[in-house]
Amino acid sequence: MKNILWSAILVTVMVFAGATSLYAEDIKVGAILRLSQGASDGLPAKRGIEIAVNQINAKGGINGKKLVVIYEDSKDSPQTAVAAYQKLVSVDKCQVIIGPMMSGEVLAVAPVAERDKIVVITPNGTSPKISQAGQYIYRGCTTSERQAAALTKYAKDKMKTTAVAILYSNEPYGKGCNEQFTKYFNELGIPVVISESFMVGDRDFSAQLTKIREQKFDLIFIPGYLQETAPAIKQARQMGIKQASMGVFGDMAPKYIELAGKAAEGHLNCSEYNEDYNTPVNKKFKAEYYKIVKADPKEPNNIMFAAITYDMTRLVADAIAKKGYSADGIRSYLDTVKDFDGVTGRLSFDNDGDVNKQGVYLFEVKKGKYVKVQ
Amino acid sequence: MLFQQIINGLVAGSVYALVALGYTMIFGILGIVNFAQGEIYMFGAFGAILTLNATGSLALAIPAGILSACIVGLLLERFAFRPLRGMHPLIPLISAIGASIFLSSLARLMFGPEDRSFPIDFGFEGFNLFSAYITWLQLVIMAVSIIMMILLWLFMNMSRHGKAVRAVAMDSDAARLSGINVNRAYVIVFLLGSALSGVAGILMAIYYNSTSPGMGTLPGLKAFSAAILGGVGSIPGAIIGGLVLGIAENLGAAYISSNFKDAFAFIVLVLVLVIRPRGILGSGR
Repeated sequence: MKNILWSAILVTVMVFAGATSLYAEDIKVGAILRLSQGASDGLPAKRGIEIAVNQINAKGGINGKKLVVIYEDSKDSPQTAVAAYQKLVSVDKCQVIIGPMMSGEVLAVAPVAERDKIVVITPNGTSPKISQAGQYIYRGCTTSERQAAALTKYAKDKMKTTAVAILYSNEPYGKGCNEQFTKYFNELGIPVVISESFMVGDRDFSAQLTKIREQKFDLIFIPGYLQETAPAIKQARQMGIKQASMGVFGDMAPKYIELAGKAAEGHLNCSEYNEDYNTPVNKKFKAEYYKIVKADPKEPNNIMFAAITYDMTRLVADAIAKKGYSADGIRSYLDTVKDFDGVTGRLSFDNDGDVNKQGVYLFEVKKGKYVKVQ
Repeated sequence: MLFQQIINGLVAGSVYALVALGYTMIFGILGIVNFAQGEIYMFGAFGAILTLNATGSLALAIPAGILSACIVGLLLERFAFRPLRGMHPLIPLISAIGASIFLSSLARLMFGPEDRSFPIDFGFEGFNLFSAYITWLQLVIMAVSIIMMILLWLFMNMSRHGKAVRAVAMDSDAARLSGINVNRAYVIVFLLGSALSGVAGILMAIYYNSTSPGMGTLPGLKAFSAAILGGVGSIPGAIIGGLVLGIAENLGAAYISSNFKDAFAFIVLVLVLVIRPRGILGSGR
């Protein structure tokens, strides 16, 4: 009995000693994602990071060291995101953080990161304010400004839109889109005849849609998250609103088509990622992503979020390999990288830390599938 | 537009009324507010969707959904409320809030974080009535709600168990002395309240073609407001409260501002508490 006890203790000590010695050599990167609230967006983002990390470690890691990512949940709250950031920096000593995912969270973390001189890369905070948030703050997606420019121009030139109705999500993202798109529509001489809102969590939009139905317009624009935008378009169709519909890049997911059903047909939106982008890196990424998604029926599928975090993780690994593990090293790499072969395009960053890529892709739902139209 | 908004309000309101009936019955008999009522509603919807995915039969899915709501309700009664009986009323209230958070987290673990669609598309067909467009689905939702309410009324007034429940609600000690099984009355109330919420959850899953682990929170709170509005403890009050609330928030959104659509439920709630604290049909208990 005593022998068993002693050997158990010995084994435990050895395992821990082994673990800590391994740990000391690992390169630790932090990630703040939406892992509970909003997990249908956060989990795909996590998969993107995991695929990149596995590929990097399978090839022997970064200069012989293993890459390890420590995940924290932002719980869709700026305060929690800041607490997660502080934990990653002070306890885990991370020099670079991927995330947070929402603009409000990024803007809360940015001043602290700027003070600590820690690199923060948001995969999909689209607020224009993030451009000016600091020298250590980077962004892996295009701003909502560029998305607005592309979508409104397409609406005018190709869809011959003459008047627009807007039904927006009443939180920072949907509200920001409402203001920006209204500005762009007005510049193009297209009036916004009505602008109604709904709350996160709403499933009944009939009051707003009844008001919208009374107006004269030929395009209904619904910015927000697909949990609300998909039931909203479905209900609009149920109430006899037959005009063309347009959304923002949150709708770019198979889930949108599933939830909206037949009502999704013809829906126009934009994306950061084109699955048919014909490069070896993208083909490999796509194959590994779908292997994970298909293995588990509960796995949320939004390949765009996975693609963006996948690119950002590889950029960070590349930076560490070339410039060493320090925030300033990573920053100097990101500022000078040119034509990085990402799955979302050839990447570089501008002076504000915003990513540059070919542009925004526009998609339309045709026969229950997203089809690239521009 | 007014008529259309009233129809919209009646559809939403009849669903609030079903959930509010659960609140009001449980409060009427146990004196506790079961804040997990919205999660029971959610489990009803998930039970139906999972069964439909597995069997493809709507005729099986609906009873399965109601059954899963009832099971969750019974487990709540047994583990979240029965051990706390007789304690200060705040304690079961906290237990209910805890159970509500626990159940929505459990659902997120069991079913995944994403919204799910209801696998049958019921289409948009309907007809014009005056200036409003009414879909068949809206009519079905209202009809099912009304049938459920009539069945509840029949049960409470005609059946032996229903009468026992009413006796316990009036005075549980006197009921116990006259030989009524009080524990059984509690279980019956939880069963009925959960079944009604389960039906409401399934109807809404069909109507909005969407379910998610968090889907019960807002309707749960609104139904709670509806129960207060109608007078907590009163069954006709819960029905009237639900309908009034549904219409009020639709008219509010239409004629004041849709920014405050969800706030109207709570504005109405505050007004009731200030002007007539026992609600429209409350007994002043």
